[in-house]
Amino acid sequence: MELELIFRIAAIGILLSIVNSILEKSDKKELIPLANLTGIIIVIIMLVPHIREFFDTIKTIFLF
Amino acid sequence: MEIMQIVGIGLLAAFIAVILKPVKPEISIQVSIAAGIIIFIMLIGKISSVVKLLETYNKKANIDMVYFSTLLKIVGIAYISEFAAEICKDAGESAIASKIELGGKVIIVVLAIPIVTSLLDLIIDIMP
Repeated sequence: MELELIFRIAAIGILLSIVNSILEKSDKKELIPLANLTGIIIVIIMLVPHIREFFDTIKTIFLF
Repeated sequence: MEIMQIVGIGLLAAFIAVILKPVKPEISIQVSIAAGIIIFIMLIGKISSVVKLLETYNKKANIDMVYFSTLLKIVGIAYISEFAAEICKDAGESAIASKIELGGKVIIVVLAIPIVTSLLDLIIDIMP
């Protein structure tokens, strides 16, 4: 049921690598680190609510 | 059963992480974090039922709630620090992983102090 999250992250990763190779071919090499950064930030933004939910459930279960 | 789902998700996430490793190592770490979170969220129901069972027997034997809650906190801290340390090891940062484990151990010792002191007081009272 949460597989969709893993597939989305994988898709972003593969998309990023395609964008990198495109940028390389069209010799805009300086944009590559930028594209990498934006991709990683997108993935982090997607993961943060899940991590927060993870920590909240641990707090409730283990009576923190 | 549940175990089939867990194994399926785990293998799938490992497969995707291996695919992304050479291309985008940063994203492969995110995949392993996401897989760990998903598998834990699937297990919540079972863990909380075990905790509730222990809690009811704790009340029946009217043991003080402090001991049980500290015990649970220690288990929680151990789980979280192990979770983070393993992810750091996967990412190749074993130095950070050992720091996280050190932090976990220190916090567990600090949490265990009140129980140890009550035990020592008891022993001192018993001694002639």
